[in-house]
Amino acid sequence: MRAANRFFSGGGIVGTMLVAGVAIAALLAPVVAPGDPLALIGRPLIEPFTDWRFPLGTDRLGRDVLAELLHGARATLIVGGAAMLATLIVGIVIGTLAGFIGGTVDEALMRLADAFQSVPTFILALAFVSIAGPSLTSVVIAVSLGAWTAPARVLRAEILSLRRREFVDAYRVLGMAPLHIAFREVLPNALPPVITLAAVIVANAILVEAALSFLGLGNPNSVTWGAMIAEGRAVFRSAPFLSAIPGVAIVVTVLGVNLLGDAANDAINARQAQV
Amino acid sequence: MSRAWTVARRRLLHSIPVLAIVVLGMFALLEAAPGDAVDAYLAVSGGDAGLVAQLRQEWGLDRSFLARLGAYLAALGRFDLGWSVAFSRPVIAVVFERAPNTLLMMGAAICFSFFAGTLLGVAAGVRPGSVRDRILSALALILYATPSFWLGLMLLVSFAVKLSWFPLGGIENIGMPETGIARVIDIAHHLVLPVLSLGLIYLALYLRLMRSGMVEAWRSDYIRTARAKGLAPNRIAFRHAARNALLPVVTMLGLQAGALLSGSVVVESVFAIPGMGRLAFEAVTQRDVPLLLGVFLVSTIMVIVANFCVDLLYAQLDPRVAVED
Amino acid sequence: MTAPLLTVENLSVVFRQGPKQVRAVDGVSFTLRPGGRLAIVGESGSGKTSVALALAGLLPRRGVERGGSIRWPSLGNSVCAGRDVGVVFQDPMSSLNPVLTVGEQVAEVAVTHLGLSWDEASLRAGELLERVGLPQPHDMADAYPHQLSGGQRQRVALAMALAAGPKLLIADEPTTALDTLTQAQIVKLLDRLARDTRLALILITHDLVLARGMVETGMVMNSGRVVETEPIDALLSSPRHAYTRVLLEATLDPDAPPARKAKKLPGPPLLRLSGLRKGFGRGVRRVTAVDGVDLTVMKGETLGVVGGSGSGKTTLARLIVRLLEPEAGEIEFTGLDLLAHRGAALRQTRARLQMVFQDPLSALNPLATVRRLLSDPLRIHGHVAPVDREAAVIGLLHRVGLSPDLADRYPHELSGGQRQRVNIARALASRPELLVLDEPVSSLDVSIRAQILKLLDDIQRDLGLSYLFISHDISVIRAVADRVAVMDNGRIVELGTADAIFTRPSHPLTRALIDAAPRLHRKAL
Repeated sequence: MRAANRFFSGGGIVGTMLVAGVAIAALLAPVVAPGDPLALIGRPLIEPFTDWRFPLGTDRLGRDVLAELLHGARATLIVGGAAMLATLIVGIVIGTLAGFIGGTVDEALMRLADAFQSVPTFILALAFVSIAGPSLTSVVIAVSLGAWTAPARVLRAEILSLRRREFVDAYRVLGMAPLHIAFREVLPNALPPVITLAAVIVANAILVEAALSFLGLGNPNSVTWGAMIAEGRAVFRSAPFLSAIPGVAIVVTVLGVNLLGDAANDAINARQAQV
Repeated sequence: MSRAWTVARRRLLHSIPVLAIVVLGMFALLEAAPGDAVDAYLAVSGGDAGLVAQLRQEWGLDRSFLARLGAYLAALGRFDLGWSVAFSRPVIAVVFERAPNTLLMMGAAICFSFFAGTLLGVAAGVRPGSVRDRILSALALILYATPSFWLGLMLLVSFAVKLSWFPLGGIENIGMPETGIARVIDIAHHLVLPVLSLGLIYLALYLRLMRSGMVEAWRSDYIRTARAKGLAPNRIAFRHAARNALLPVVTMLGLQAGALLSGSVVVESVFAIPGMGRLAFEAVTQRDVPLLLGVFLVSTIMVIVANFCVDLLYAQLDPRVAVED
Repeated sequence: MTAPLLTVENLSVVFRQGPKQVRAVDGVSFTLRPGGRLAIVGESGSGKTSVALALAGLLPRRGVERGGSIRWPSLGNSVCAGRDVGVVFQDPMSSLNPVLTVGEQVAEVAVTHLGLSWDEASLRAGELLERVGLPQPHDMADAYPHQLSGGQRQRVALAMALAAGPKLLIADEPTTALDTLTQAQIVKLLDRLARDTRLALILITHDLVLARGMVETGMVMNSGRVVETEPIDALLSSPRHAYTRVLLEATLDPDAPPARKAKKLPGPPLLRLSGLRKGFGRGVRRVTAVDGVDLTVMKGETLGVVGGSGSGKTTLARLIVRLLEPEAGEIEFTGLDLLAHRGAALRQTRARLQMVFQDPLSALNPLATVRRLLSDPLRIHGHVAPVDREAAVIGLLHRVGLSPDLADRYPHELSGGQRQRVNIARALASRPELLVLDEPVSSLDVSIRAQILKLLDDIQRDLGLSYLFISHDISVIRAVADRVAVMDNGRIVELGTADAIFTRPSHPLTRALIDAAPRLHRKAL
């Protein structure tokens, strides 16, 4: 109960509202702005709030900025969610193996993690996308390549510390099978801190995807906020709003996700303080 | 001194397998890339099938996988990172020409974000929950959610385009090159906006880390002891709490070296700074895979060196380090 | 008649957290003369630590309401923590700042309160470290806390508390985190320092016996209230209040005759260890934790194993239950070679050989309910049909004196005593013949400790179990053991019946352990 209260404190509520807002925008995109958001449907470079048909104006090719923004929300959330899933799965598998098997396997996996943490992850992502070709899958993989080390390390450390707890010894003395101890008894205890990383991963994924799109390496088949900023950059002296609006959308989304993550973290800490 | 040496040696031994994995990974990427060096070369200079076969044989590209790997490693051993098609020069020469600008910008961004971030973090964490803390924490949260390239664009629009306080881009005034102290000032003037757009997000990160370290310190037994000793509030805050809260920030400093290099790709693109980050982007747009991987390897080595320095610094700050071996 | 040093009237401390409030201290009053010595005795949750924090002005600023008055008549009522009142806390590791040298941590007190320069202050720090009995104090000043032993850290904490020459020292469980021999040294040091400097002392402790040797007045607290305040001798010889009597009865008297008379036990030994050895680390860092141990445990007896920290007791326990593999030696259990057992055979033997761990909370999976914790052994060993498991769980709870209502609780929802009962029930579930008990009561309050010892005794009598009972506390061993093995540096240095060990100890360590135990009665000389 207390954990739930902690979650819905100030930041948690704001975060929930921001993320829910973006999610609703993404869901309503086909309703509010049906058709292809990349269609050229208006006079170019209409300023925001001057034409009721294009509340946020149009870009230099005459595309509806609001439609692009709504459809961009969808692309952003899909990349964030898919990258989070991929990252958590890889991180959990590797962290579990390293933590439970130990020895040479642990050593090798941790050196691998060191290697991935020593490379500039964005340049790695650039290299991967430019070699594999830009697509939703390659963007998701590129983001996960740089992110999986965090959950892997956290999970491994958590497992190592849990393994020293006496309850694991108690199960061994009872004669419980080692695999059963590892997966049924230890792993569930180790997961909560990893889950709180989910928000960090989503936020990071959104930022990396935006940067990739900004450089023209995003998913070419959908509107993305990063690509909108890049598009606006060509006319940023005369129409800075074209770059400003999608940037604000990114800030709001990432802010919401981070607030949610902080709140989840507080809630889990409060729960563990009770234990 | 011997403690620092232990740490240094451990870290150096550590880097060997890391570098090995990175090099193997690079080779794998190179192999996976569509087309090889010959295709890229011919795309620029043109040539017939006979030349293709001849070049392939000359460059050893028709040999077995292991032989190619061997040749690649041997070349790396000679500091030969391959030929940049886009610049028609050896990769290593292009990279080294660009590296100083990036190092300068990164160094400035690290110093700015670290010092300002930790100081503001202490200011926020001295009294958790105070008005000052709430304002600083909220600002940090917003900055932390801001993409650096977008921040750069917005700074550019406001301070270079509208207010004309700062130049629009580049690292120095090319039209009228300066010398001596005037050149230093000119470069610093050019670097203000890029350093801000690269550094502010890390400032926010260090602020948040420092603040939460302080909050944790306030709950600790040693702070209770310090209060029981009747020490002055400033001494408790700085010498006892902040000194401990600094440790995770310094750890993060090492981990973020790679991220800063990543950030330089977009920021250098926005501000048209001829550095390594922009070079990586140019390599991508020109489909120059050897150049991209060259940037990749050199920047990885830079990260490893940065981590090495941070480890030495950390060993100075935390007396417990060498004990756990 | 001089003015009292300290007058506390109707002190109350209320902690608020949201809508909940906890009255930790409720109407506490007492006075202390200059140089006087008072012990505040109570179990966890009695409010004794909150009193100490209130006196030193260390209560958290937010979420706490303090009522009543604390006055310092002989100090002019402007009292400053660190200068007039020194405080020593329980855990010497966490209460020192890990990243500053101990010299600086002592010197900064002198700089703050005596106006010394840093150079003068570090000289004074060196003197203080010498006074608290640290070897090579001037080298020690450059050491960091993690480089010192527990006892040395507590000496540093004492030097910090005394650096500004306070009039009162508040010591909050100053020896609880230390082993018996170190504890005795720190007690002696505290006593000497207080006498030398005419220092008043408030000792916060759960241990009536420890208070006995150090103070003149004892104040017993329970649930935030003062139960009684009496001269310490009167408190111990003729307690008036029922709660004090409970505490006193639960307190183990190190001078009482051993609880058990040696009995002749027939038959071959249940457990026989011979030449057991186990080391950790390699090269110069190698530590041989268990070094050639021979022991037997007979059916129905309790073998007590006593020793200081690092003596190898816990490693021995873990070798017996096969949590660790020995490097050499044999373990024979009911005539079978235990070390030869693998797989299913080992699992079968494990049912008959169980262990109860030291930390009752850590030994229970935080995500498992009591029901699941107790069903696990039944399921693993399959000696109870699935339909009967529920009944068996209830039976186990009943056996250890717990209500069946607790079956759906999680470990963090139980009290310390309840947790240890669940641990015992789990160990009993597979119907073992031998229980290895590793410090089963050392983390418990005295009154709870007495209940758990009684429970273990009842179970042994009813089920005919054998115990290998490990403790650092010689008084606990005296209360439970038929025979006693004294361990030091991985070896058994003395082995005999409880009667022989306690009346005619032959090894110097045994004598030291017995002498170091705080006394309930003044020794007749």
